[in-house]
Amino acid sequence: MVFGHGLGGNQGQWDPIAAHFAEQFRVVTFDLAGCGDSDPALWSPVRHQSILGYADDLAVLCAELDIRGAHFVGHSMAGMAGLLSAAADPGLFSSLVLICASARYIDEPESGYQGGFSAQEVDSLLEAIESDFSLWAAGFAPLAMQNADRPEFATQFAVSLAQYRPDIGLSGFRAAFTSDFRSVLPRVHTPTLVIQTPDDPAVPLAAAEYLVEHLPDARLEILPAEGHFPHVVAPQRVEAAISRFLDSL
Amino acid sequence: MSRADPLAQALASTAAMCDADAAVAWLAQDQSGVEVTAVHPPTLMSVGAVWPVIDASGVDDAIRQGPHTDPAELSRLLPISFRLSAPHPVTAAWPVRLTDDGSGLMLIWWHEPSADTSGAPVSREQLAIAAEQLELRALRRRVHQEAARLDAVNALLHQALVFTDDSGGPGQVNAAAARLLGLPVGQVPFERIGRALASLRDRSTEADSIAARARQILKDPAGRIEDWYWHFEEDPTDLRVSSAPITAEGVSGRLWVFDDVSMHLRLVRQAKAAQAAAESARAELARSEERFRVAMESSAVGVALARPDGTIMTANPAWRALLGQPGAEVVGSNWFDLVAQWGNDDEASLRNSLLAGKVDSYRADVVVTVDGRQTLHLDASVAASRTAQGAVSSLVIQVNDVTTVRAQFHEAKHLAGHDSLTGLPNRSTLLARLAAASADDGPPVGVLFCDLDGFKAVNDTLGHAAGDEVLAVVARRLEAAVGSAGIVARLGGDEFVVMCRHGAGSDGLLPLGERILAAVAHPIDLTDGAPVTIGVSIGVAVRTSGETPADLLARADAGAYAAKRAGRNRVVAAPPP
Repeated sequence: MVFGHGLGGNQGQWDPIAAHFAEQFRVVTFDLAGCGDSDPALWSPVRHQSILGYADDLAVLCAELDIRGAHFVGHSMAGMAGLLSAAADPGLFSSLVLICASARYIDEPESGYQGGFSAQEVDSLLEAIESDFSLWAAGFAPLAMQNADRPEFATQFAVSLAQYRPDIGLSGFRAAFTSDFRSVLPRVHTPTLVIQTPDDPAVPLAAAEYLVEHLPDARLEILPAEGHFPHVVAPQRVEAAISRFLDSL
Repeated sequence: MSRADPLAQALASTAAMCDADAAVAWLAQDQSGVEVTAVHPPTLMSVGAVWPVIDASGVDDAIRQGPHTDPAELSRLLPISFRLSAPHPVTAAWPVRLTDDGSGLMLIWWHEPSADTSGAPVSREQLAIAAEQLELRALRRRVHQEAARLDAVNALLHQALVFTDDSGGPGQVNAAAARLLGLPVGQVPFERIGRALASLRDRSTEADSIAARARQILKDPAGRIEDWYWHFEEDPTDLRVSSAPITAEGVSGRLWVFDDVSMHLRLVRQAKAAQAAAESARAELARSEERFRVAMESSAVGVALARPDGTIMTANPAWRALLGQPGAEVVGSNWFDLVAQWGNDDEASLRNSLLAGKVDSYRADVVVTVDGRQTLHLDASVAASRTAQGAVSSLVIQVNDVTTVRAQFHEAKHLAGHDSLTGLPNRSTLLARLAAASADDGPPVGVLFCDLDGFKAVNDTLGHAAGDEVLAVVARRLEAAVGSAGIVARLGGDEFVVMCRHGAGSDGLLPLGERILAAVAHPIDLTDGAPVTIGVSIGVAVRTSGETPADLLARADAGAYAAKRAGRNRVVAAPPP
């Protein structure tokens, strides 16, 4: 069972959930290139300008660890990386759990697609990141975490973000916010669970519904929790959802 | 480029293994990614798509191992971006290297059957065209790299390079030439380059002759210029100018090379001046050495160069003549050994002072024996030459033979104190002896003043020669009579004085006076004429305390006068003062 953390996080975010599933599976957590404790030399400005680069990393990681047919749980960008890996190599994962993931963050008025952001909003967001990463991160952390009554989550996330090299952070957020992998969705026949919170500041419910509609074998679970990080703020509920999904396979 | 084999391999593979569900892409790889340069069937993938680099080192293994079907290996080999851009799931893939530098790859892959593909097999022609496109692309990249490298080299060159096109097209100017000529770098119109070159030429002090040669050269397209030197007063600068026609494929023109050799020429001039100064110094040294050699060779003074231990290294002819010994080489003999034969203690102590660094030179009289018999008196001067640290490196010894001079000196000294006729001490010697004797604690000094009687008559009648003969005989007789009892001196004329040390008062000297009377009284034989007989009046005085030599003599003289008055030929004791 492989867990991929989202942008701004690190593999430590999986600790409670991974501990639970370790009784049942061989559990693999890892830091994305440029994140957490990963070797800084592994991050490449060319390779990681797209989520495809992170997907390539995941495929190589699995090949090296001799992993095939695993369950993959990915948050946000890592969810998309897992989805892309599965599209390229259908046998790689036997199931996918995508937590607050999105195939495209920018609205597409002509088709009616709702990604949650206008093109201008994404531009100004990236400009803000570029002009002062730490200032932006300080404001973004409580926004993404929500749960104002439990500020420790926002603080943890802010600390995690602050450890990012600003150029890596910018490149990662640009890769995520400018991505559009909607065309890949029909090719992924792997059974998939999409977990989405109702008021995620990064991913609107409509985007999650789009995933489920266009993936050949997917179901949606709307998790009653605040913010973009349900596995951090409500690990037991996420754990339970995953367990139910795995039991149903 | 060895694409024949991989191409043949690829064709064979597509024929044998590929069915309708195979595709081939031609890829170009560099650091930033892999670009699709051609693809067949063309509907499968868009040309120009760029894939991020994936494990580049793994590609070579993948090539060797042939078509890959293992999903893990495919994951490693094919970027997800490639596999997503391929419209159907890939079942196998095989990369083939097309260019030696690794930039060109051909990838054959097999995918799940699909109704979309026409199934048309890849034709040899299509493969060849795509491969050629790839080759062209690699060639273009190499040309660009070459041009970039040339630009970099050009920018670094100190030499100013200008290319002028024979057909009047724009020329090329490198960075150094741009600075020199006040032109932009790169392509510059022909006329502008011409004006700049002419202006440079006109500013050069050799403009006239150069201009004539330049016109000549430019008339002859094959003319070459090598090593012109243009000098510029205003800076001042020296340029070495070369120009040669260049003909290459499709290019005909002339390359001008300007090299700033100011520093070089300055160094050459300095080196030449230094060389001339060194030669002049060498010649002066040679002349000086020759002068020294002539001086050494012709010097009457013996000169030798010796080691600090006294071993002689070289000696001049005068030294050899003076100190050379038959059958013994002068060089290698030892000066100090020679000196030590005779003691010469003064020299030994002076030498020690010299070697100890207390003095730089010394001069000493030394006596040496040469050849075991000849004794030489030498006036030797020894000078030390020292190293920078002060140790004695060599000795320069000069010796002057003063044997003859010394003998002559002694003779002269004797002459000064003695009467030339009789050989007896003269008045001054006598007075000195009397003074010396008066000063010591010995017995009192007594004198017998002897005034010849009848000598004037002999002198006047028989002549000076006879008188001299008489005086000489008397002198000998006085010496004989006195013997070791005293000293006989001649005061001058016919006056003699006998000085003796006597303890018995003036009376004690009377017997000696009587002996003198007797000795003088014998007839004297002369060379010419009959024998003569003369007498002597003698006054005797013994010095009393405090009496000066002159007073003593005067008292004895008075005694002699008294003897004369008493009848001559007698001895009278002078009364005490």
